[in-house]
Amino acid sequence: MKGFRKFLVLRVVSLVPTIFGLILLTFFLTHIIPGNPAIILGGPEVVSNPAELKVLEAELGLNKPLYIQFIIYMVQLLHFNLGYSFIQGQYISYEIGARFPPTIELAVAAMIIGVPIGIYAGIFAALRANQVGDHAVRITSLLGISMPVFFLDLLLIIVFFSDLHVAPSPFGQLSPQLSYPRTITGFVIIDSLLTGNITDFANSLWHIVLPAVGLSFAVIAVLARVMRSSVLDVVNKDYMRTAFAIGLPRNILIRKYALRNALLPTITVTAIQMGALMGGVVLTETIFSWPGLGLYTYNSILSLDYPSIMAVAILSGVVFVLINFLADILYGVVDPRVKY
Amino acid sequence: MMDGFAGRIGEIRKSRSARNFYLPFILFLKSKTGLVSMLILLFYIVIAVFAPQIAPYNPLQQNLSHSLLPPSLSHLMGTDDLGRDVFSRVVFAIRIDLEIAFISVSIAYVIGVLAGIVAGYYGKIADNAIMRVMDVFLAFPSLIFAIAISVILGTGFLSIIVAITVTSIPLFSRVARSTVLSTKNELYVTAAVSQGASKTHILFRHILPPSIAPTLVLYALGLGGAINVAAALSFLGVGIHPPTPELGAMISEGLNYVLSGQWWLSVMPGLFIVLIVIATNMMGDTIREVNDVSLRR
Repeated sequence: MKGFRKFLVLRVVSLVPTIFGLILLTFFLTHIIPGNPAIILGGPEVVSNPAELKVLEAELGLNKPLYIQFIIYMVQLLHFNLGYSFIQGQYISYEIGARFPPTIELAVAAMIIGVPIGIYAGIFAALRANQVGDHAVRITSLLGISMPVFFLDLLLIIVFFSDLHVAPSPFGQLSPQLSYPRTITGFVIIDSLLTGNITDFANSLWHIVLPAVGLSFAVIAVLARVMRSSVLDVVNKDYMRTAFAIGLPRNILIRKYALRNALLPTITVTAIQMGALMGGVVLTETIFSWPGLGLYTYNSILSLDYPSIMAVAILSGVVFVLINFLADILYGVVDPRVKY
Repeated sequence: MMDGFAGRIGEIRKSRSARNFYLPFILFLKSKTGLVSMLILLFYIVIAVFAPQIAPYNPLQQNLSHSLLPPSLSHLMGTDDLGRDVFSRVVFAIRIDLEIAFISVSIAYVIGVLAGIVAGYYGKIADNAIMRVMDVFLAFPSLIFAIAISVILGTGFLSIIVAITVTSIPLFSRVARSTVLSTKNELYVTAAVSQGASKTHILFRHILPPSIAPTLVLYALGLGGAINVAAALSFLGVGIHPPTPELGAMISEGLNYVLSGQWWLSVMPGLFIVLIVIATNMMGDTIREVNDVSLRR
């Protein structure tokens, strides 16, 4: 356990330069943005009045040397202050805090659908290597990794909403005639359950299915591919033949021998997929008018709200780094061979 | 006498290295998936090069009396809300998407592989400096990073290229670096060092060539990925601007008509994205398999 603690400390320390780099890069990017923020904030009055422009620049800290500005920027970030959006007229952290729960809800739903199906499909294919079932999984997953998520969403809407009428209208988390439950956690599904509002609960579950399925397809595809190849690797090992020869039941062979060995690559891929998911969320939420961070990003793009876009970038960067960190820690928990 | 012997050694070496060099390519074209994916890519390249000859209409020509026509013989993929021929627009969109993909991935390939082999071969400070920068780039989810870059640079053709290039460089350098770490301890490298070959000579003659095949997989995958990202950026409004046809932008323009039944506006360009990305993914898979086989022989 002592080794593990040392590993943990080292790994946490290694987070520092990456996150520092992230901040430095976003700071650099925000500084090559065309246009003077003071002019954007002050409007035409300031342009004609240089003295007022100076005052405003001083207020925003723009007259200080670059490295001081960077330190201020970092200190603000450490206080969870992601900046001020002139276009929305409010602090970005406030808006982002409210936008987080719908996105988490969507991402978790996509993972709940995607991870088990992906793992199962991979094992299924590996155990039937080069048979019909294997080919079906391989072709489907090739399609899954090749299909842009926004196009897949569109097809889902055409088929399940326009043609079959089984999905609800693809706008938001609830049907428009329903009112949102009282905010407790911010997660509509959980809040409606906590307030005992069964109609809302069922309706929100119904609404999340289509966007979550759209997002999960890529997860399924990538996981199935990785799972297939890692199970195929394990199946041909000597100890598998021995176990088979001893006469261990097939499901124990698969669950205890094959599956556990295939878990490491699965964790890595799942962590990487979370990053792709964050990009996919922007596209999916745009199509489904899902009121989360993705739609927020899209609206910020439309209104050229630079500070908000940079805030999303830095936030998703930090979240992604932390997810990879968790994946590293999970290795040790899952695999007893990993020694620290 | 000496001359003849040295010449024969040179000949043998030449023929062996030539065989090793071409083997993956021959195996690639012999495999079914390799051939099919290659043909699909060629099909797209032909469309892109001969776009003006293939497109039956001017992709920008509006004709409001022919708006929203379903696919028919005179308009193979129907017309959009402004009466423009969707097929002609798809043809020109393929042209611009392929241009973006080839330019950005090629630049990323050259920079990425060079940075990777330098990092891997020189090690120490160079390695740390280069790879830490790459880590930071990789720490962003790539689409969000691409959005940030193209928003800041101002939308358009060039900024898409920069966004895709910057987000793909780290992938190339990582793979290139990892191949260098195994080749730099090979006997032939040690031999070259003991003969007094310069570091640059070793880098380009002995370290670079073996790292080309593994990174080619990424090049193929990168082409599809680049088209995906270009389409996603344009779909979100930070890429190519209307009225210039681009596959992702076309999907987004047709979005309003999907629910009222005019599906062809969005679905037609979407199918062409899927097909090319499938082809590049198949290519990547095949190159990987072929490399495995040719390495084993």
